Amino acid sequence: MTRLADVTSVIRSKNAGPYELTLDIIFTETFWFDEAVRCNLVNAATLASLYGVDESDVLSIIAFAPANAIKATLRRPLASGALGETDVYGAQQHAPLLTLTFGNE
Amino acid sequence: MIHALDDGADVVVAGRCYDPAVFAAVPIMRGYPVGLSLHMGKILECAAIAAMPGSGSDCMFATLDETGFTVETLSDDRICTVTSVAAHTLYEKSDPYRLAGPGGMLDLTKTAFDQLDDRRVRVSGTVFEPSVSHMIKLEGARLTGYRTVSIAGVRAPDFIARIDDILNGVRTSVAAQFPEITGNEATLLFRAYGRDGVMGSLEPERDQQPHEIGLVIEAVASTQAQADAICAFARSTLLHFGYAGRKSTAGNLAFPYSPSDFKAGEVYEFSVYHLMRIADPKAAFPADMMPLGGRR
Repeated sequence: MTRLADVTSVIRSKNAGPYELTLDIIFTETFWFDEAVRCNLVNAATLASLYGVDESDVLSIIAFAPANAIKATLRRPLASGALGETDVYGAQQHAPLLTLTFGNE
Repeated sequence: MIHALDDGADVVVAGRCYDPAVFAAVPIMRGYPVGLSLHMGKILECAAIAAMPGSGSDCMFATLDETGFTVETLSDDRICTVTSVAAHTLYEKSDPYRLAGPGGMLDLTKTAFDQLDDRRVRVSGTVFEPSVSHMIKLEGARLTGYRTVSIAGVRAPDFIARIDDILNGVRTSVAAQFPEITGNEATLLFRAYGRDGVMGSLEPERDQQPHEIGLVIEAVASTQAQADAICAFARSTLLHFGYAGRKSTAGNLAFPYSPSDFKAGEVYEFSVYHLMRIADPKAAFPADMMPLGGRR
């Protein structure tokens, strides 16, 4: 079983505008990027479950081959800076992704 | 930017500007492809972030021609790789292939990234698709009140185990004294660092009991004095709140500071986030030309 954290150089989150949170996963090798795309590792159902949101709040998942990267964008539960919001720049919302693993195939 | 440079400006001071335009204005003005100029500007405006290792403390250098541009690092401590340069368009955007900006969309679907040597990357194929009518982004924030916060730690396991009940009890007591909380004219919030202070409702491990919690008590009201009063009342109520099974009867909170409460001042929230259609891109940004230093 391979952990996503072990085959990536970057796993991060950031605002994409005040209403969206975007997650970037950059793989160290094309092999693991291809593998993640092939097995659909990052999908709406998985993200919804990791973050406790509805699948409809997963706005997009895009594989960006030039950077060996997968990008997913979530609707923010609260807009950046709204009362009660916890992360104005959205920079620390990535941790649940670190728990993802490639299944035993 | 181009308008000001065309008029002979040596220096342009702008209140707000599309970041890539700082680098793209001159090449676009001189007839270089808009898409390549903007893509290059987008990379250069972030200093050496698109290098490896990335850094905001020194710069990159780009050479632009009719068919592409080459980026290279200026520091021997870093290099440009296809991945580091390509990954740059992921940053703070939702779609790395299509980057919307003033007046149109930067399209990277046909962009090629090629490693020229150890430290240089060639980028080609990026095109700019002008939108049907020129649109710019309009952002605005409005004053929603004044904030006061108090920071305190909790170590008692019995308190931590019942924290939701305790905070709800405190909220009920405070709301009884300050009806504006129930009326939504003031807000009382508790943040529990160590549990879900960072991720809020997105936190998957909220139910794991930590050994300590950092609490932030936060009051937002229509005046600073009112926010101070609500925060102080909530803090003192929580400090001595008698919950079932409490062993530590001398106080529930560890304050790192005295005084314990801080005025955080004005609170703003986003209130405008729209695309605005404009007929003339220049008209929305009036410019004044002024001589500096007494020499024209």
